[in-house]
Amino acid sequence: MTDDHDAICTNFAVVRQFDDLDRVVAIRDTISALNHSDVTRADVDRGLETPLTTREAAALFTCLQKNGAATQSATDERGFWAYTFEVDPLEVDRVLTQQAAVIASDGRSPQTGKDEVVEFVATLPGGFEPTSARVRSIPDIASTIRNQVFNADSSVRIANPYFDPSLELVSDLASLPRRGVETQLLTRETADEEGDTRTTLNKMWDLIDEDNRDNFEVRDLYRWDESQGSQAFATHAKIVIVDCRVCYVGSANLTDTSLSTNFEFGVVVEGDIVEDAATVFDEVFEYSYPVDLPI
Amino acid sequence: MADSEMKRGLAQVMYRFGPESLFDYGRRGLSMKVSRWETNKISSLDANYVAEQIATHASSFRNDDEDPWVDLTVDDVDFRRPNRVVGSLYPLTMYCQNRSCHRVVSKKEPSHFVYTNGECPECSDELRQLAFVLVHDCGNMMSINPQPCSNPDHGYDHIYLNKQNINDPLSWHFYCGECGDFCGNMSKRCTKCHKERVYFRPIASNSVYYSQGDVLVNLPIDQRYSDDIEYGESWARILMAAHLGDLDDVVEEEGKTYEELGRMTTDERDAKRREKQIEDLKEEVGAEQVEKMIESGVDIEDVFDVAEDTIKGSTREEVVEENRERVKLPSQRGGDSDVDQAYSTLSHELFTYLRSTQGYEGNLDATDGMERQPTPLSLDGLLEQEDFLESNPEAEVYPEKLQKVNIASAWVVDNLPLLNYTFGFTRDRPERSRTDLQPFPHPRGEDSTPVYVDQTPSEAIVLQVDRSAIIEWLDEKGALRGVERPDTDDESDLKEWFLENVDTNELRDHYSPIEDDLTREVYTLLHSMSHALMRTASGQCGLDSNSISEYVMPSVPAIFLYASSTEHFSLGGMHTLFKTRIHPWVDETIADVQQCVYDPVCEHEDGACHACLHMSEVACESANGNLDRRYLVGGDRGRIPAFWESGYV
Repeated sequence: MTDDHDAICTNFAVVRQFDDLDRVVAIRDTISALNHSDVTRADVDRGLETPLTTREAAALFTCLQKNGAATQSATDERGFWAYTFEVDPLEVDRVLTQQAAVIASDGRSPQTGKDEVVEFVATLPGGFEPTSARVRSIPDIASTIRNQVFNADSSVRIANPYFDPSLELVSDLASLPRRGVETQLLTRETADEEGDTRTTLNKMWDLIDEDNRDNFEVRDLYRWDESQGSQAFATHAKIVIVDCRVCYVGSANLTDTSLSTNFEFGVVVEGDIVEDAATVFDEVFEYSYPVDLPI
Repeated sequence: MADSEMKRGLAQVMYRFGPESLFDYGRRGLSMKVSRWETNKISSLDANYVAEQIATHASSFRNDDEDPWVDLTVDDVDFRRPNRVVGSLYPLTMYCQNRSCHRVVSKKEPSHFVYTNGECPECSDELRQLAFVLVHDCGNMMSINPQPCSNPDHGYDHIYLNKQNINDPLSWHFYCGECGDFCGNMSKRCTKCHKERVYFRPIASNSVYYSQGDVLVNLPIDQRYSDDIEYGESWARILMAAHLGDLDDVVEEEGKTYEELGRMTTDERDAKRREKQIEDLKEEVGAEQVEKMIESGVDIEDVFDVAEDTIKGSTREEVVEENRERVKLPSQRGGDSDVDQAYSTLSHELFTYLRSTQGYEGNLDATDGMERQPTPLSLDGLLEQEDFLESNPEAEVYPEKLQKVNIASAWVVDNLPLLNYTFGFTRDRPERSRTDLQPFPHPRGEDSTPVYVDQTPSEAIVLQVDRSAIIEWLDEKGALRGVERPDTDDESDLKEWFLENVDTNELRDHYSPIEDDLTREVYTLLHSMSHALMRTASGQCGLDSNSISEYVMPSVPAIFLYASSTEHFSLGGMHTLFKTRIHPWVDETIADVQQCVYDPVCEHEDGACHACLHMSEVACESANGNLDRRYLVGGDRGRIPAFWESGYV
């Protein structure tokens, strides 16, 4: 930690993450009022009306650390945002006052939502050689979903009817609940003993440590009409919604062929409209059958 | 029997459906043998290096001194990619499933069973395959067939299987139903090597077939020039010059790629082709005849196109000569006859490192066949992206966090080309030293040894270890006695020092001890780092620990940790780790290596065991050799300094 109590901040992670001046001031006052020097995200949350998001917590502790107001004193397997930091209250006051001043001078007010962004994505068929630059440059679905997933902060909603029980795909998805991201998965036909879906879900379950299994919820939407001898209804949607911020909707299942060799097409939407997708997902998810894992 | 199809992924085919392997065809309740693979020729790989790797693998088998493995070179190998597997019924002995019958029907060809209609000729009940084969460690597999009855009038016409003790197949035997004559049991002498009697194995037993292969990072070389590159010393020195920064201006100003710089001149190429043409002619008409023709002044007509392009700007000879003056490899100094091997190993290491961290220096859009180039993203580059910092604020502390474990630079690499290859198989035992390595039969009946490959994109994290920190640590450990210290403030001088002091020839065979002290110290340090980071990476990114592999590059020095999946798709576990989990990854790694559940024994013995640093054989590049936790955290009563700091950042 620095001894220079007049030093100018060199890092502005708080400015980048927060646009509400009052919130930064409240954080500063909360930390100053603590009667112990070891601080966690939970300590800060107790003084706030709305708890810190994971990103806000990471930005706060990064900013304090980079500006010499805090040092890491204990780790946590959940991630940096859950670490414990030893802070110097005077230094915290200096750093957060400067961060608040920058926010004030920017004249920023809390944002109510960003413009919507829409982008097409595709998996192009195996062996296919695009002739136009426009087709060559279309983002591929696999990378898009991957980027969405590893940028997830708090929640991921996935609707997907069919899986490959490929260990790699399964383990990548299982990493979400493992790192504290609330993961909801809507699929179908989990009762099929021979089906890939059951194998996939059980593998995911095995890969998630016991402490984080509460972050993983699966539901099944599939009804067979005995009288008609046919399917009554089922989920066939392919959706990935991350943090209510960004949403992929398209034709691709989470299978090797869909993500590498089939022709598949989809769209990625960012902005307030994603909340509508999340609302629809949530209601359908609620209507579906809970699946107890392991199956 | 009618032809039928089933679909399997290529990765599964490579491991489970190799030529001469057995598989269950569940749909028809039959067992089959893979009779052949239909394949395409593959050329876009670093064939020299892969051939050397195969030769190294082959040297650990019992028959390493026999053809085709002895003195195996790239000219002996034919790289092919399977696209269809053809199987036929095997084994060819069936018996009636009616317990009161057990009549045996044995044929020489699968097609001969068509006439049986799958029915017992005695009672018309269903015929079933005898689900056992005989395998020997020489590579032979035999069907269990009855012998004919000693009475020539009976022959094979009345053979039955005695399964009286159903739980003890060893007691099962064939007999003649007419006269009771014994007609063989569940064992026989090996028909290939005749050395010993071989006993039955269930057809589903692992010991029937062990596929022999490996996975390695294999970057494509620009096909336009790959045949014209002067491999060996020349290519290695081009890459060394690039690594040392000596080619920065050439690449920048002349727009040349390493492949373009590595090409032979027109005269050299023509001379080389003429030489090969004369060799071919000697094989065709005899060496004496050709010598006579040349002596008598007969003009042997060219049958190849003379290259029309000339190479402008900096030449290969200039770059090579300059680098030759600058860098002396350890194998050169020691008069090592294997200096060519050192060039090959170093070329592969540097080419992989350069392209995986700097990307392709040429124009990707204008170069066909280079879409499999890796696309690196450096940590420095990520930290310049506003949206990345917004979603991962803690990333601003990543450089300091990585510096705690002396990692100077880091990249996450997409589209890293992996080569999954299989070069043969063994039977009966898993131990290489006790089995004969069998080559695959060539699918086109040619003389060369087929090696089957599958190229898949993967992802990796590349960690360049702080060179000056290694020098300081070696010095503190007393490992630099008699070795000149480089200028630790000069990165180019540091790079040169590692090239000149790490002997890559010592690392070619990972099953042999490293004799050069300095090379052993550097490799053990990097290898221990790699394992410590690999063991905790799986928990952080969700990849199974066996799905991450390493490629340690002591000449750079750097560590490659890559997802060794042979699936053709990856959702990005390594990206997740790199972008969001650096803090817990590094902190957990530091905490993990501090102690082992078997301390103090582990610490006093080797500083590495299955409970702390060892990984599975598939993840480790050198059979868990040259590992020592104490190199990272210090130990041996202060004699081994700690390479890592243990305090928090």
